[in-house]
Amino acid sequence: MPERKLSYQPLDHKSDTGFSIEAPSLQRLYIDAASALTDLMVKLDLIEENEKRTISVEAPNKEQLLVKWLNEILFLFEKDKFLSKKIVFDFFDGKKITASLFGEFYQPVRHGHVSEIKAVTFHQLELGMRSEPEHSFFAKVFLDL
Amino acid sequence: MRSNALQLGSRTLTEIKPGIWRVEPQGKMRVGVNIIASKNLILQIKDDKSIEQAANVATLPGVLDPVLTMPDIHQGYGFPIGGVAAFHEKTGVVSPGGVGYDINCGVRVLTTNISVQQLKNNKMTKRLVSELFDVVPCGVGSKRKDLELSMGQLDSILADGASWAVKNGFGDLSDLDFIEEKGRLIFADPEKVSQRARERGHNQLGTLGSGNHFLEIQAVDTIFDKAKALAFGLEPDHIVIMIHTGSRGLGYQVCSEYIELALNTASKYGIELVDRELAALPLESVEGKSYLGAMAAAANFAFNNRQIISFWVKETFKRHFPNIEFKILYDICHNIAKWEEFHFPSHRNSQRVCIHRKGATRAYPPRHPSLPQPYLATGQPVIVPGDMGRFSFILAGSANSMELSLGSACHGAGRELSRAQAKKQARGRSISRELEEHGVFLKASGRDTVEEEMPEAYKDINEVVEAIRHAKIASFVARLKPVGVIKG
Repeated sequence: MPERKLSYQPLDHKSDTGFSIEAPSLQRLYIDAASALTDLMVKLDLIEENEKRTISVEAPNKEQLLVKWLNEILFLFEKDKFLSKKIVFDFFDGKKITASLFGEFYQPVRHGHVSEIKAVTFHQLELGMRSEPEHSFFAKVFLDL
Repeated sequence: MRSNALQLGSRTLTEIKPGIWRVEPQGKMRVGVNIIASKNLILQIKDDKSIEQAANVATLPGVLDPVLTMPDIHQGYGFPIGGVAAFHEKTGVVSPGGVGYDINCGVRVLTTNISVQQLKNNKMTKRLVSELFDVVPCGVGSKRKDLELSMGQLDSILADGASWAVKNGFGDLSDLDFIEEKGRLIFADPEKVSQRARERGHNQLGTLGSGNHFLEIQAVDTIFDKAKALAFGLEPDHIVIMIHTGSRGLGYQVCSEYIELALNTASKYGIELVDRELAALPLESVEGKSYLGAMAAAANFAFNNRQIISFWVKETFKRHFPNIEFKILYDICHNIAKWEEFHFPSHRNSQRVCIHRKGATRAYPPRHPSLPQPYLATGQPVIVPGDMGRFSFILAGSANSMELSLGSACHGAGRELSRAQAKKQARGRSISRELEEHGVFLKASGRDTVEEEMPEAYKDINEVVEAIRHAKIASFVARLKPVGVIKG
């Protein structure tokens, strides 16, 4: 897949934060959402790809899968301080994701200060498809800080 | 429209008692909502969804009349922040989102016998702030290398609450009397805390975290009620320590996992999801009991967290002030669900209910049997932290707090600006220098947090606590002013 620049918009919320994101495919939407979440903690440009992690998540529907997948990214960061830069899906069917994550461990001096994200929430969660102006998928996600 | 009524969209708010506004049930609401606020505070939230969120809570099964909101109410996830709701023990539900991700986030105040002048004369404030910043891990990834826990120790922490810390040398047995529920929710069931929650949290005991969590050195600035201040150990100009933190990653993980479980079981239990973050579990169900056990275990972790941080604070001060004496004024939860008893007008006898306080503080009246002896005459100390530049308040629960607000009061000032708005306003300024010019030394691990948490980001706390006083829920005891702030 050709490299494309990650594009997401931070969303304003009184006590917390969030982001909206658009991607050409559902699979890409999940990958980009994970990268956006990481980018809110540590700029992706600062992350190197010298470690690998494999994760697998399942959920009964696309929305729950998105929240669970993103919470898994948070979990990896909080437990192991792992930051992913490149994500490859080994399996994806809208209810299950198996992914290989390439990245490195957080180093405060090089990566800078990180504001803690407690959780990815279902608050005003949106996940959908657009056909205009071009076929794309979009999501809105709020985070508890 | 009558002068004691307000119209917010389709909802009419009627002032039923001084400072208490009633929204009668409509649509799917099973009960009404009582809003404790001044007219001005209500107008400040008219454009957000907090009252809608309180109305959504009022649709949940087994909810008892009324759902309440506190004067620091603002929009949250599912429940509004500043929301209180009680549920019938047989027909009611427990909502993991209604407790929140930071289970037993709470505040503790330690009183001391040293004055702010003693600190200033020795030019000690800045030094102490710096030392406390080094001693109490704050910010992402920081931990104490001398507090490695085995999984067996973690089980004891989850089961025993703050008494674990006391048994292990972090404080005195008498400390426990001055912690809500004596620092231990007895219905904790460590087995219901997943391995993942343990992995996420076990390195975080004794850490402050980031965001709105803080450790502050404050001075008693004003005494409003001499007798109660004396009973609380608050003397003019004396230093107190305020600690605001919770159950850290362990609690966040418990909440996330049980929201998912509640979503997956909603149709099985016929619970209509008006908002996915309000997903709830019947209190009588296996899943509901499991959540309560895990939530209480996470709450016990949080009690330990504040107890251990207190110990390190004391050690740090003692190096410079060998004769310093510390006492816990009180330690209270503000994100919690637990069993309490109340009289409801609809029932003859007192009811054991599962009360949710989401961004709200318990505020028990004088003579309540769960209060420690020194507070039986005064009512429970209610700790209301303000922003890091202005004031915090100590109140005392009033005689009618059980009837007026289910023994609950506000938990803080409440945000006025979003984080993005705050950062915009902070552009080109040095918030820490501005604070220093006002006599507040700040040390934080990140500039972003400081900007997001700057004083103007919060409502005027005077207006919030005045609404509580006006509604006769709690009375003023003392006002505290920060002199040193540690942020993650």
